[in-house]
Amino acid sequence: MASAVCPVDVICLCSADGTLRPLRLQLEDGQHNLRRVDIQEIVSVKPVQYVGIEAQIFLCRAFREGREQLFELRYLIRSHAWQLLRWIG
Amino acid sequence: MERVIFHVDANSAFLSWTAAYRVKILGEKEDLREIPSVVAGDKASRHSIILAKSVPAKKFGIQTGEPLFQALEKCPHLKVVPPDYHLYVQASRHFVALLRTFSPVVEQYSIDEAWVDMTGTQRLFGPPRTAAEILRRRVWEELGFTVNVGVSSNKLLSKIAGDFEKPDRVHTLFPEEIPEKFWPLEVRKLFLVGSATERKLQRIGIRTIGDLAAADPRLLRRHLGKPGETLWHFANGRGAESLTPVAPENKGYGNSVTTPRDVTTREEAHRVLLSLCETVAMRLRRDGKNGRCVAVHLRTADFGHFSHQAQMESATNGTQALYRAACQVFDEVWDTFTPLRQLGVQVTRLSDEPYQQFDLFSGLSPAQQEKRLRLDETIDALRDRYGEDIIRRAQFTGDAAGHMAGGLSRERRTGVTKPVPQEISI
Repeated sequence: MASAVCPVDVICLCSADGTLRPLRLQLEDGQHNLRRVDIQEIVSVKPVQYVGIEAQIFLCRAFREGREQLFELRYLIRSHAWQLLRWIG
Repeated sequence: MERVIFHVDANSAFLSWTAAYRVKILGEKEDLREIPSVVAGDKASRHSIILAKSVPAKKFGIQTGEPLFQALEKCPHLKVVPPDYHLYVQASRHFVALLRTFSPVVEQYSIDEAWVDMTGTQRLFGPPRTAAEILRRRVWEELGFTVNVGVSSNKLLSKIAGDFEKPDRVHTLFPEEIPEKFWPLEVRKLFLVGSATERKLQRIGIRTIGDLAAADPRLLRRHLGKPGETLWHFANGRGAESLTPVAPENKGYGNSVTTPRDVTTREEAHRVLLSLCETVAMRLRRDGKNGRCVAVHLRTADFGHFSHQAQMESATNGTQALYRAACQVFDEVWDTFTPLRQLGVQVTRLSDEPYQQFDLFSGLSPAQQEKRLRLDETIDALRDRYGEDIIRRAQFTGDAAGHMAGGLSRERRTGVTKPVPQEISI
């Protein structure tokens, strides 16, 4: 089944007060090359709990392919996994 | 002040939770709710039944509880997905937590339905119907699945209202709406009326709930006994008025298992009983209970049912003592040749006493009996910490499954069949 959600590797900062701040993510492009994206800014953080799965959705800003883009990253609290949800533009 | 009770029921809970997980978390594009699909156990297993179905699957005549092979005959391209009990417990906990944000008085009826006492919340959420719409929308937006909300002045009517038209609907059934909405319904739609009761009622000319409401309660009592009178009250819209937010204590602890193949020997049956006693005794010990009465339930290969029980000298929760009693009861009831497909052990007449009366005639000294209790405690602690397979009795060596049998498969031992006590605040 095709999936719109892409699991990604993330380097993040875990603050002493428990907040997370993703700094850089690594993902595969269409040619199976690894690409790194530095996160410039966390625009917003939203806690969600679809079907009881607690997660945080980070709206992030980064430079990619020569331009500034917004994208959504999701952190699944229980499984400690990061997912790239979508590039917004 | 008029009471306002909501009955909130997740639509096709297991299926919609699995579907929501796959779409929202895994990002799958196919939504199980939109295709003929079911949640069912392992196809190879003898007890694989339909646990939940999608609306398109229902159009093929597939029913919850029917065997999987039968459902596949009705719809060969049916998508079958396995249950995920951990997900269901998580979803249920958050579902109840969200309900508690509407009212502190919530009574969980099962994993996917609950009553909420909304009396006196009008200034917070508006009139009952508006509040119900807010609740329905919040569950969809925050948890990703649909619910039906039944609104009335007692538990019974709200539950019936919640069952009207599905999915994703709010229905009201206040006492003044009873003649119009409730009485024309077929009598089997009434709470606690199953197929056997329906047949009995039809024999005395009662086909609708209205017929039942108009019937003479003495006639009902004569044909159905005391429950007949209760059903008459239900048909007139009189049900449980108040909610009991704390689940009542267990009256008994029991587990049963359908074996992979029929049991035909005494030794084999005793092994199954031991595996059942392991789980039942562990549950008793976890809740600090001792039981005095042991019952064994047997289902034969041709679906006949037997049960037998015996009192023990003293209440206990020791695995070995329960096993000995269960074997004794079993040997008394089994004819030694009828093949058995299901065995069950139940312990009742419970006590909370923190001490146990040792059996003078068991052939064991008090010190040995004390040692057995400590052994049980140690085994429980090991299994809690490292999993059930960390230690097993020698007679189960080499047995891949089976040394801890129970009504719940291993992945389901998560509180899934009972209201989940652990609270979550959101």
